[in-house]
Amino acid sequence: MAESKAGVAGPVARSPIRPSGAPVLVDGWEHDITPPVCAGLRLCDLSWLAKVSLRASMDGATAAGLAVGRGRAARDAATRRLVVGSGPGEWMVIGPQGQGPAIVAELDERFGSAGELVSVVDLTHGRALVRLSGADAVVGVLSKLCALDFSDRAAPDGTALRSSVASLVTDIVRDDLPATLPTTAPAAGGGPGAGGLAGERSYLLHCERSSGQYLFDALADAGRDHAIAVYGATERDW
Amino acid sequence: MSAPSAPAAGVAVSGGRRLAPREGEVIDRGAPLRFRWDGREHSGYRGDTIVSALLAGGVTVFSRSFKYHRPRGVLSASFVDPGCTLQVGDEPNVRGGHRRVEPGMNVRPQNVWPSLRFDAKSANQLVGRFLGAGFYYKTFIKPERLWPAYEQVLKRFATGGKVSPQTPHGVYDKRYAHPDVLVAGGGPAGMAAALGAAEAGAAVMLVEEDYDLGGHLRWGDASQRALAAELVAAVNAEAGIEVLTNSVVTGRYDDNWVAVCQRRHPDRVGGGFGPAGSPVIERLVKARAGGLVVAAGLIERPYVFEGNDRPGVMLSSAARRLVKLWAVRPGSRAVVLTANPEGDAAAEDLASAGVEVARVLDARSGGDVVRALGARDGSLAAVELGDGTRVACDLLVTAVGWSAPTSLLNMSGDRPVYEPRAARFLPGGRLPAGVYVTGGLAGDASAERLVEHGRAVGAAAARGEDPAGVEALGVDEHPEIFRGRTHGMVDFSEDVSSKDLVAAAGEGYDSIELMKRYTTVTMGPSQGKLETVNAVAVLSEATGRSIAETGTTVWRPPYAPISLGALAGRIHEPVRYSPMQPWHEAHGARPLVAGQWIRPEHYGDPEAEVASVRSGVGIIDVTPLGKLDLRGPDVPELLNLLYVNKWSKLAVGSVRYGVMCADDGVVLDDGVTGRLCEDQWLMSTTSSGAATVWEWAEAWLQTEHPGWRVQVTPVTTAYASINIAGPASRELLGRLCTDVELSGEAFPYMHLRAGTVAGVEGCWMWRIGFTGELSYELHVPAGYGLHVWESLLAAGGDLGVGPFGIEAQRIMRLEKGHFIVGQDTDGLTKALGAGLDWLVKVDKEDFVGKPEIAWQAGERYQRLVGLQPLDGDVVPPEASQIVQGERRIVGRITSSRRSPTLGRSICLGFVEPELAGAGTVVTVLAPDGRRVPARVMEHHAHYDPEGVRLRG
Repeated sequence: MAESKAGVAGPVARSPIRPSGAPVLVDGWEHDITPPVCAGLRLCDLSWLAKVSLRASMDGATAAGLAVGRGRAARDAATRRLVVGSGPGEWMVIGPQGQGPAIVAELDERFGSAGELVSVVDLTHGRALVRLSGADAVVGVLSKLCALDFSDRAAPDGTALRSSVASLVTDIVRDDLPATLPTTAPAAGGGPGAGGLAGERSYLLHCERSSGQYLFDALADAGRDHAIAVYGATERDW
Repeated sequence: MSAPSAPAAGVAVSGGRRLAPREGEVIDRGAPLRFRWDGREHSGYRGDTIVSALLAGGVTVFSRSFKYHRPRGVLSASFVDPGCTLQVGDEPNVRGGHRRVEPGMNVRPQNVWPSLRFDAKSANQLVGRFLGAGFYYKTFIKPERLWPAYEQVLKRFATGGKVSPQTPHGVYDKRYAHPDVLVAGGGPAGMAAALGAAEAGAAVMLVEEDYDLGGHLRWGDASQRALAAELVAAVNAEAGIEVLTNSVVTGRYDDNWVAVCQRRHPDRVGGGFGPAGSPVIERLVKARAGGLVVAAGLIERPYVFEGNDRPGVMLSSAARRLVKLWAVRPGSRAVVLTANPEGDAAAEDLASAGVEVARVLDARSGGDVVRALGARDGSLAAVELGDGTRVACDLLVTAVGWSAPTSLLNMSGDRPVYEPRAARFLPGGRLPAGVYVTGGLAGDASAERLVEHGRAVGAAAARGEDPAGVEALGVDEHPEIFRGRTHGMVDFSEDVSSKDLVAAAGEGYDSIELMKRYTTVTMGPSQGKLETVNAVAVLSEATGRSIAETGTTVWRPPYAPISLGALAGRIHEPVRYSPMQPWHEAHGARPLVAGQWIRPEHYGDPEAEVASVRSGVGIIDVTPLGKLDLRGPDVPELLNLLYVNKWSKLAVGSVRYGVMCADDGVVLDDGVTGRLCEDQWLMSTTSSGAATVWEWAEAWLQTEHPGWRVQVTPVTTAYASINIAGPASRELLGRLCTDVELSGEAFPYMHLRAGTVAGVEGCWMWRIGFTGELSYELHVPAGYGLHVWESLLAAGGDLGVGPFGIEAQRIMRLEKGHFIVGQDTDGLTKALGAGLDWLVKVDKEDFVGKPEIAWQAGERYQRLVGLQPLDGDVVPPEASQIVQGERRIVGRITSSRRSPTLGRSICLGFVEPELAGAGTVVTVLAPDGRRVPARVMEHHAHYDPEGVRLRG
């Protein structure tokens, strides 16, 4: 993503969530660039990611082709797209910023011509999307707002849920962040290799755009007891 | 050996009851603190309860009793201590026997007047014989008309503290949890159960009512304290156990849905709620537990005899806790009545604390107390023994047995049974799967054996095994001692004596449930924990039935009182904003709460906004309009079913207005739907109807027509919606949209186009509007909403473009006679009544509501009409009735405004069919009694009824 020069005319897209600092325009979208102040509990806005909804029959060719069941999410390593089985006969494809039209075209081409009725709708602008990360405290925050069981056993990485979060219909996707190497030198004897590091517990949450600020504020409020940090998303968050 | 410590300099009150440092004490002598009690300064240490600190300072009377205003002191020195309910600052009903004292606390007695020392209401004692069981019912029942007066008087005598209306709102919290095993009770068996469960791999939540784990081991001997320390260390080292102290399981519901009230812990960081400075006071934890282990322990039972509620008479567990935990000498000269080893130990503990133990009466061999005699202030002065001798003393300690707090078992469906050998109730063996019992509730044993049992039960709970596999605990023999040879207090909270209970039984209230309701025994704040078994025993004695036959009352949630704040928790009320909200806020829009949406009502002057639209151009944020993306070849079938009009022939690029009715013919919603391409449609709904219509469409598709090939995707907030209205709207839009021909011929009324606006691709433009002017409704990808909004304002400066709000739109739509579903219609308004005869196509094969509407056609119904008051300066308020003669209601005003365009008042309203003809003058009765004559108009529209302007 290249930063556009200030003052260059062109439409400006904005997230429903107000940035915590002065935003920067990145490929036509305003981005919050507040750096994370801690490695603990963190909350960032990812509403600029492409979000494409797909509706098809629960057990047709499209469902088989997507190969992601309801309640599960899977990431395509090559495209970095996350395919979420968000409801019965309902999927959401989340991809890098600006890919909405491309994803729509691709899905239409792949599934739209097979004779099955398929609705591919670009909801990039229709959904607010945030990421909540940071070890066990994340569960502490979610458990204040949502009645579901977020334990590893009930909802491991790759689980997709739809529930009430702070009384708001919200989709929740457990999408752990890839492990990072420790920033300080490993302890004597050598730390675990990168491949051996467990990922960091993290969730994507998305709701109707109009309630994005409300959801963000509710998460930040619930995270106060865990010293939550609000920041601008980094490469690692996507 | 006791050396009363000297009070700190400057402390006003000093009773000198604080002992020298002791093993196992929980006070931190390095952290002295000051607080106020009843207007005077006192001192204590961190770790003290309010009552232990006050008692150490010589205070022995903490409250006055509920009915007779008798002085009350320490009874149990615990949460349930009925005489230690106090006011702390603005917080009423604080349990002083439990709550830790904190620096600066302002503690006051409650329910006393004018003071604790001299309470005028104690005169009630003199007339006590008239205040017995059923006093209220007997005295105040007649004449009924005087009840409001009685109520005023009785209110003054009601117990409880006071809450100032100025009390700031505290922060209360809520949380869900899903432990594999939840253990209620952090004594030896509870801790062991938690460890047993965690070792079996379970995630455990351990809940303890007290501030510290350990249960009765904390005031036991050195070996018991060592065992407690060992267990606490093991629990703290076990990552799988979450410990909630100063917390209580308040209820168990179906399928182990368990409520826990977590209270602030002054010694924990953030009160135990998070980082330092957390403002949370209490948190309600809603836990869905795999297994529930009840390890609630036992509660010592008071002895019933004359004067048993005098300050100075206390339970052995209270005396031991005061001495061992808080190093407070509970008295100077003591008599001890004991029926068990704990009572024996209390006598030893008192002696070790320097209390002169004048007599130890062994109840197992006939020792007894007949009555407690009082000094002038009501406190204990002497005890009359069974043999008639009197012993001067200021402390009487009783140890006559235990009650089992079986609440959680009752809530699980069990009916505990009385075991005469142990003189207490035990689990009845009717527990559902997933509920387990350990500790004192389950039986008697040494601490080591309790730990062994707890560990096994915890492991069974973790594995979901039948607890029958765990070797049961036995029970120790205990004499059945409930009441002596005199009558005394049974319910200390409600001031119900054994004499009252016997009298009630004599009056025929001889079932325990009836007696409870008649006398209020067990209905006070301690909720039966101290008094239930004594009440049962007294009733059993009065009726001659056994205790087992008499049974108990039912224990229901909550186990312990819970604050309204904790029940309320955090308030979550979702709100919705349009992408243009920051602009509205920055430009002085008055916010209007419309359901969850926050919308601009106006920007200062709605009438000027109307004038601006009628003469030039204005823009309004209509983002909340519901929008549904409909796809599939059968969409026309769906539309024909849901709307009352026809849809099959709507051409691509066109839009049409439609009204939906429910099955009963009542108007459900209205809006415009457009055909974007052959198999793709965009349906718009009212702002408030977006969710309803989506569910309505899905319901018909999923239940009645699953074969239809239609898919519905809600896209309400995927688009920011802006209506550009006014004669100059075409000019304005044309400046920002270069790829769509906007002329009236190329883009006529009721058509739609896709195009680029202000550089934003993928915008939909609909030539429709609510204002009656030439107008375009833009649906813009929502992220660009603010960009397009600002671009429109910037581009139309010379055209006088400005924003207009909901109020201006409401005025203009009323000028045009458009009704609003839900305002001009209600839950009874059918399509024809709303004046939709022109729209309803009864020749359609079917649509929702058709039979009802067809039936309505032959009935007499009120009709929606345009109305103008004869005096154009009078605006009758909405909901004014239209009357005939004095009072006969023949209609109502549904909308009314002053029209700035016409310079007069205009209305929409319902009238009886006979009055619906144009020119009829009806009478509007305003709420203030004014009668306003108004003329029925030919059209709903007051302005441009032919629609020339919007087709321009």
